[in-house]
Amino acid sequence: MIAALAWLESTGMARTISGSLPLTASLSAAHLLGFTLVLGGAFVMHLRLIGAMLPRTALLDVARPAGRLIALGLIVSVITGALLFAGRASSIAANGIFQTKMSLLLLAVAWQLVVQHRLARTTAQSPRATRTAGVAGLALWLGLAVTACAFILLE
Amino acid sequence: MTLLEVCEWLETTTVALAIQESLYGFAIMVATHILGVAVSVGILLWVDLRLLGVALMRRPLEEVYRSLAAWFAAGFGIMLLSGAALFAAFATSAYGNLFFRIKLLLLLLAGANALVFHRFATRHADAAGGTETPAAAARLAGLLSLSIWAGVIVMGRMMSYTMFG
Repeated sequence: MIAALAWLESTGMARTISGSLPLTASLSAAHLLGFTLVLGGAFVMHLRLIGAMLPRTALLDVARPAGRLIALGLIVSVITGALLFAGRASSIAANGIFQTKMSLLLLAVAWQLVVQHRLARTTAQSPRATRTAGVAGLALWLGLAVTACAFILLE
Repeated sequence: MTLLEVCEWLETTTVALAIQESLYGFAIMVATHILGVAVSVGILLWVDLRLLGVALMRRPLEEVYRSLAAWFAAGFGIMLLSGAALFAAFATSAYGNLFFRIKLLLLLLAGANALVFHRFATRHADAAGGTETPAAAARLAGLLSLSIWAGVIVMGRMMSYTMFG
């Protein structure tokens, strides 16, 4: 594992990224743009599930575009995030906040897929189950957002 | 008093000193600022997508606008307050930073776009009954808003890399 991370850091691409401030800054900007899409999709969808936002819009009318926003945002931020990671792989991988951030990301994505799947399949939703799903989803995505913001500061 | 002198004075205020001197003050402010940006722009995104005719088309624009406005304002308020505090702490270097200047300009444009186009589009969509394909002006407003805010985010990131690096 440690050897793999050291190898990743030594690749030409990783060295180019870590050695160039404009490149690192641009990747970081794109990473934040992707993150904004993810958070915008997740925030509105789960507040709708809770019943705090867009109460008259059908659940699926919010959940479908939200799912697309989250997917698009994830593609952008995972690619740019992986490139940024490559530049300083060993130190970042050992970081506790980064590990928490990745765990929350996996949990949030898994939860999102489950909720999205259930919303698409069942027509009648119990209000209580919907609200619970919204609260859990909001907690996971906001937790990810907070750890992500905390992680920025270690740079 | 020149602008630069105002900036120098800002750096001596209590808020500025607290951020400069405390161990975590700066970190917490930056994290709060970025969280506020992601939440507020992420919510505004839905209004822009509605203006573009891409999402939430089964509800009138006015209703979407009303339902999201308070949440957007909360995120925007957090972003503005933490941003102002950060600016006070590093006012002179921000003042001289090209990316900061572009960012301020873009924020003014975003404000103007919101006031002029969003209002105009909302009123027109209402008069037309609400849920059909938005007029060209509405789509333009949505596209402008999306592009300007993406620019604000990019400039913000560039600024932080060039000011503290």
